[in-house]
Amino acid sequence: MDVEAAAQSVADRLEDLAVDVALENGHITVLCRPDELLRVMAALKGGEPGFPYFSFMTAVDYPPKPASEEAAGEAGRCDLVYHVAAALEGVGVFVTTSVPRTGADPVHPARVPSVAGIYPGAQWHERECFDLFGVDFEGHPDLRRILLPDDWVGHPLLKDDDPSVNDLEYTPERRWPEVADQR
Amino acid sequence: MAEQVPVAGQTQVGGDPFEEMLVNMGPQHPSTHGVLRLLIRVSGEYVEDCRFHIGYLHRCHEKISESQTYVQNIPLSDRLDYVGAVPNGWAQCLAVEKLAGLEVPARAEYLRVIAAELQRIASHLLFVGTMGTDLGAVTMFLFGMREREMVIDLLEAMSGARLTYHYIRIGGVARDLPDGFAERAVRTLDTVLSRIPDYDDLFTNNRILRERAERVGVIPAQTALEHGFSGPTLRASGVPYDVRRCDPYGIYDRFEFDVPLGSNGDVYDRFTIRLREIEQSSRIVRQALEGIEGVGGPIRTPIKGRFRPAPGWAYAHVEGARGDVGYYIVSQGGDSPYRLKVRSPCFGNLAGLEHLIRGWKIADVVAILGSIDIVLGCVDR
Repeated sequence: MDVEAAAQSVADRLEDLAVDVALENGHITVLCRPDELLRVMAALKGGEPGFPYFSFMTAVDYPPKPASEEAAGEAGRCDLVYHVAAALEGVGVFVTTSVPRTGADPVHPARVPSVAGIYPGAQWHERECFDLFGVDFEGHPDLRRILLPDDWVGHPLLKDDDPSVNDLEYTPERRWPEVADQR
Repeated sequence: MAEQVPVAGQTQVGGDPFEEMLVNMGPQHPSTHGVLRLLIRVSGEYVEDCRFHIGYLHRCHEKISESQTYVQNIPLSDRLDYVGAVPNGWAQCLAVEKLAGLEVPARAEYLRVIAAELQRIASHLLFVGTMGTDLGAVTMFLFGMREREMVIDLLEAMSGARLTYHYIRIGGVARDLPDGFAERAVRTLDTVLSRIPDYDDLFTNNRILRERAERVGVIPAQTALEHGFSGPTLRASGVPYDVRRCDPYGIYDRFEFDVPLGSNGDVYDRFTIRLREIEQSSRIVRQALEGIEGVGGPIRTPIKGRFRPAPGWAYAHVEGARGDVGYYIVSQGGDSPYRLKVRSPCFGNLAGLEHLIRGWKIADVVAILGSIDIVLGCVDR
């Protein structure tokens, strides 16, 4: 499939939904608002050509910048990047949406709807993103930490995270809460 | 945040022969191929629910990459999928090269293909062995390891290492082929291929093993695609997705090879497809060894001064031994990546399996898990 034709088709489909559709580095890029994310993903998966293959999702963190004498301060944000593809044709779409860093805890990014209902494969990727970035995925069926221990404090891939608050001493009870009862 | 999980091994209801029981498997367990922990709720012999606990091998690859230079990051990629290391480095170098706009010399492209395909053969041979052990055929393990050893010797001759090669570098490869490599490689490949009929006798045509593998762990094509499966696991379900064919990188468009496909998506298909892939990879290596003869020149584009790609982002993916390995790199013009994300094939394969393992017998869990060929270093990163 021709990438340009696919990009045109995506642009037509997302005319009312996306802020911007472009062709960058040989990939189709879609920029959208968080509240339109689910409709954008559903339109990408279902249309013609469809993008049914969920490759990965991740986040890129831009921490808040305090105001200085030279420049005004900047509020922090997290860019969520989803990669879905028409795998057999080798055409991929990068969907990007920005969420402000004003979640429940001031350093955490705000919520974004979970796409796991549309792409079941997104479930673990969103768990990882929650674990490492603290992004809250609304409607996720099972949002738990996945790589780090359950009692870990903080989200290490945030640029301003401080992992030193964690107590790293090993005790079986901490790592295996469910076997601790048997001792 | 600690989840409330019932105590492993403790029954929840009494008196019933099909009472529910929680079985803990791993993280130290030979059938979990590393440090995977499964919490399985069984009803009699059948799996009611299964939860995978990963992260025991999490080495903060992505976080470390944000504080090291681009060049320092390349050897880390070998530690992800440590039995199929070459394609990881290739994916990372490809992404960095895209970011920096570096050209790769023609001879290096051939060397990359030779290394990656030999690696695929070595990795699939290990799979053939471990799949045998998972089903109780230990001879298979010895067969697989025996042949893998010969292929590893070839990779050692190319790169100087036996497991984590660090062969593919930014802009090229580490070193050229040693003298007499082509003859030696062809001889080894002939030997490996001549032993595949032995595997067929032992596994493919063995009634006991077929009973355990056929129509077990079936993954339908559409489900496999939506759950983000890739590699031989996806192709066994009949989806012809191979990055080498669908989104060619390097010089793969110059070689003739077939993409073997399965029809049922069961454990048996996932086993046999890897045997066929060994044959196809050997075809590619032979063509590359012939093609490289007339191609001279440098094997690496030198990097001058401090290596700082321009601000921007790049994504590159290659077909690893286990599937689609991708690197997404964001640069802000500094010495190290601003963000580096690994799209790991094993993570995708394992994520999808969590739901698909329900309803099978507990003895099949080991077979199904073995058949997707996970490497936990690749899952946890």
